[in-house]
Amino acid sequence: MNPSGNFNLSESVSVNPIGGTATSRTPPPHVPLMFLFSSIIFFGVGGIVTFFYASFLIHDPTDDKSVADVHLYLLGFITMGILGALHQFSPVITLEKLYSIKLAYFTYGLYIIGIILLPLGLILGSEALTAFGGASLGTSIVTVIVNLSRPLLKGKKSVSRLGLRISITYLLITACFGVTFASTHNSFSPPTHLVLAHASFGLIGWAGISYIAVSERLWPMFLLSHVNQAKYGKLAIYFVAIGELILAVGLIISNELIAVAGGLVIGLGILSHLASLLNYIKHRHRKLELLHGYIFTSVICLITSAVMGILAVTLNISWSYKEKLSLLTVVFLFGWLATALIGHLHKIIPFIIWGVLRKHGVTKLKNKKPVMFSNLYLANIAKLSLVFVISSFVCFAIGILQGSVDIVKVAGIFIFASALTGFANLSITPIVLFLRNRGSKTTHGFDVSNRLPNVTSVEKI
Amino acid sequence: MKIKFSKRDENEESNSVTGYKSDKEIIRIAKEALSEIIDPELGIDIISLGLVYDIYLESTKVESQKLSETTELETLVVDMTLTTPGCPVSESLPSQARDYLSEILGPQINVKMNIVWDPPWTPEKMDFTIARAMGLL
Ligand code: HEM
Repeated sequence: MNPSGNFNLSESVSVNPIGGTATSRTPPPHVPLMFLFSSIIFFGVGGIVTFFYASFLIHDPTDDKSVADVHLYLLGFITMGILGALHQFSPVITLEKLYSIKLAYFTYGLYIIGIILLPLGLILGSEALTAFGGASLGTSIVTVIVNLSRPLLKGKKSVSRLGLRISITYLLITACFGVTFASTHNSFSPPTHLVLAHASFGLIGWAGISYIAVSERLWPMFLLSHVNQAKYGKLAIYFVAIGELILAVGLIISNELIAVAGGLVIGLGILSHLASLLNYIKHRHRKLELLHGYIFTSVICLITSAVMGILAVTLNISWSYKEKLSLLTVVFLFGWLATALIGHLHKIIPFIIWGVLRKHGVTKLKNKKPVMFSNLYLANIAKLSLVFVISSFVCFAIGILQGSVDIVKVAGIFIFASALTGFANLSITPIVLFLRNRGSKTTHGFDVSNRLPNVTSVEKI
Repeated sequence: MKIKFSKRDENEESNSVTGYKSDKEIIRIAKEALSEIIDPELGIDIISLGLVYDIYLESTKVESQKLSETTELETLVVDMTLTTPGCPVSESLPSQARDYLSEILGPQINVKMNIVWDPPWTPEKMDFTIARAMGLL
């Protein structure tokens, strides 16, 4: 009974057989946010390392310093960003909570230790640091799989869940290879075909399929595009998953024909993914906006990567040109994922922070209009970040083709600038909004869910 | 904007439990309040977006163990959906609506939000005049 003498029930008393009431499945907002903001930091650190070790990236991509930079980008930025998004989305997509929030902190801690020590060990040539970093990352990946097991095994069926189940399996395989390489790094140099298998598992099987799976959920929402079936998305996931398996087998047993066949099946998957995007764009109910700039740039990178790969395999050119084209294939594959991730972070971070601001009573702007997601970053700075990302990949392409260390150094500067502007934009804007509106708790912000009296039974009349 | 109202909506008599003039008045106030809840991604209120399917009143008997008494209480039920299942605001929009309704209607009326996925939302459910004015195609 409340002070005015009346009973007041919270929503938890009522049960709806069709849809159920809204109860919180997502982890506390700082859990995904710590992964997401850290991922942007590692993108910037990757840019700095590119600047200092540009000559290694161009002249010896397999040198330890290059491997260190590659992992700052692919593990520190891409994988960490995807893991942040999965901590937030897998419970919402599958209607199942994470296994444990404490485990998420544990994953994060181990991951940070690993992603600092692995590149450091590689750069300093310390086998112990490399091995410890690799083990820490490997353990962290096991913990994240345990944490996501409930949503991904028990949760509601969907194309996204299917894709994430496959991609997380590929992450585990990637990590098994990686931890083995890292533990014996100075004493044993793994054969190139095994390193390539590890790289393809990570880039295509894990990061690529994860992005395809998550985008099948995000695009309808962001484009306000409701196509009835996600058939192209499903095809994309199956083709890429099967193609990756064939490619990896071809690489592991050093059979070029099987590897090329795998590449072709992956190509079909990429075409299905692009068809899916076109389908969503065709049925969209929103004008094109900033995110689409990021998505289109990422698609251009994906197509460029595929073209470079085809040229590397089919053209009858010198070995050094083949090597350059192969390097460009990997760089643009990274460009696809990096541009898409930065773009989506401009959507995902604001809506998580929006909830945090609401909890603190920040619901209105100075002009009394309600706070929108788009108020939580400056659109012009976000456009600038996009320009920096595009410039960095243009510089990478020219630098690698011309063998110019200086141009690749500029690419590193652009990446750093993109990470810096992105991080500042996504963090400072909400902080300013919070400080300006602190204390002005508006009526929308208060919580009534604790008014439940000591009720034993409820009966509808 | 096709909000369906339950039979209780026709009740024009004064409601002794809530103190409001009639059920119709409660639902009118609720609808007005809901049209102030804005989807933070699209910038359109949830009524114009067609996310609210139904608003109705339910009477509920509540037994309190502590006071060993039974009291009748009015519950305003809102059936609403979201643009996409698994939508990022799926947790916050209904609770925002519930909090605001509870505040507007006062402690005499309990508020319950039902998230409904059947029928699923489609863009055709939007109020197109408003949607176009807000830059949606
Ligand atoms: C537990 C996690 C991981 C560890 C410990 C690890 C470790 C390593 C090591 C030690 C190498 C160098 C092998 C050598 O040449 O001696 C390597 C190569 C590579 N890894 Fe990983 N890795 C991990 C995850 C990943 C992931 C998730 C990706 C992709 C998303 C990835 C992409 C690559 C690539 C592209 C190379 C080749 C780099 C080059 O030759 O420049 N790795 N990895």
